Amino acid sequence: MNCEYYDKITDYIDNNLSKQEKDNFETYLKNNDEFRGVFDDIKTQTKLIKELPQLKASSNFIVDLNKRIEKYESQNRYSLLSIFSINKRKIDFIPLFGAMSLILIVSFSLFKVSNYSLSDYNSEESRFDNSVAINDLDSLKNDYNDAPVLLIGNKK
Amino acid sequence: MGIMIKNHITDEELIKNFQKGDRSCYNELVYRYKDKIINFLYRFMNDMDAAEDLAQETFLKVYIKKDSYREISKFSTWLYTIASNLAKTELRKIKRRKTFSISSITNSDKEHNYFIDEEANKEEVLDNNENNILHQSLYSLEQDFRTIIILREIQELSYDNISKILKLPLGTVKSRINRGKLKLREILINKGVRKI
Repeated sequence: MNCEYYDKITDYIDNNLSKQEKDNFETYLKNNDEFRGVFDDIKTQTKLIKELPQLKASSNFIVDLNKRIEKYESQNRYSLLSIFSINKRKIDFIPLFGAMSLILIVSFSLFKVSNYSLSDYNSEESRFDNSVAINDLDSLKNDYNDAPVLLIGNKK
Repeated sequence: MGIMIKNHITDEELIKNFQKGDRSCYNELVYRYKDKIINFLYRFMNDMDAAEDLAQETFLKVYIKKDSYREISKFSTWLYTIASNLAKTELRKIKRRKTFSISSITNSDKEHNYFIDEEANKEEVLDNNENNILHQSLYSLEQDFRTIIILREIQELSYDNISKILKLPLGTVKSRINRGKLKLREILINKGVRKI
């Protein structure tokens, strides 16, 4: 078995060999009975494969396909991904998303910083002076049931 | 009407227009390729229901992923790549489930007769029994050989296209076609087909 020629059967059938290759192939084919048998089988077999009945899609193929498309679109209409895809052509969503996130982060950080400063200031102002309360003899004379805790925590 | 108007437009122009939002161009592409894809998938899967289902999946994927098509390749190459990948994935799932049985072959053969192209010249179409032997023999070939033979001999794609679809060197495609045909010949002989 000369593999070189077996590998060229399809190219010979398809007429894809050069003149020299074609001549060599035909010489080998003429002088080798076994190869000729295989070649004839392959040639017939190829013809039969080409002649296999052509099938057609069912009559409701397009209707069913459109249903699938509608289903896909209804599932994705309100999803975040669909928003991405809708806006993809008009605006580049990723930089916009990045910019919005940055603005949010900066705003939040500024708010936190200003809020902290204010509360810090207020806490300084409203600090209780316990030493005064402890030394306040008048308050100690009062009935404890009236509001002892509040009296101890007198503001300056 | 729309189909007639678009007859002269290439596949690549159609997909480009669809990318711009012209849905009628998508419909035209489906119209052009639905039977070819069904044929490819049926010969590959050996099941008409699966072929129809996968063909619809293929076109749905074209619809969803339209923007991922680039004009560097032919539309048909892209389409067959999608169909081929879906079919391979489905076969893997079937193998994993191990539910493939002879009954599905019988059912698909019954349906097969419903979808034979009525316009085909009946004299040229072989006896159904012989067709079935050839079809079953083709199906029993290893997946790699089967895919290439279907793409080349049934779909009549060029070697170059097949090479791109399967991401194989041209030489490998050619040698697999020859080896596949030799293997198919052996299968047919083993099935008792004395002289093809």
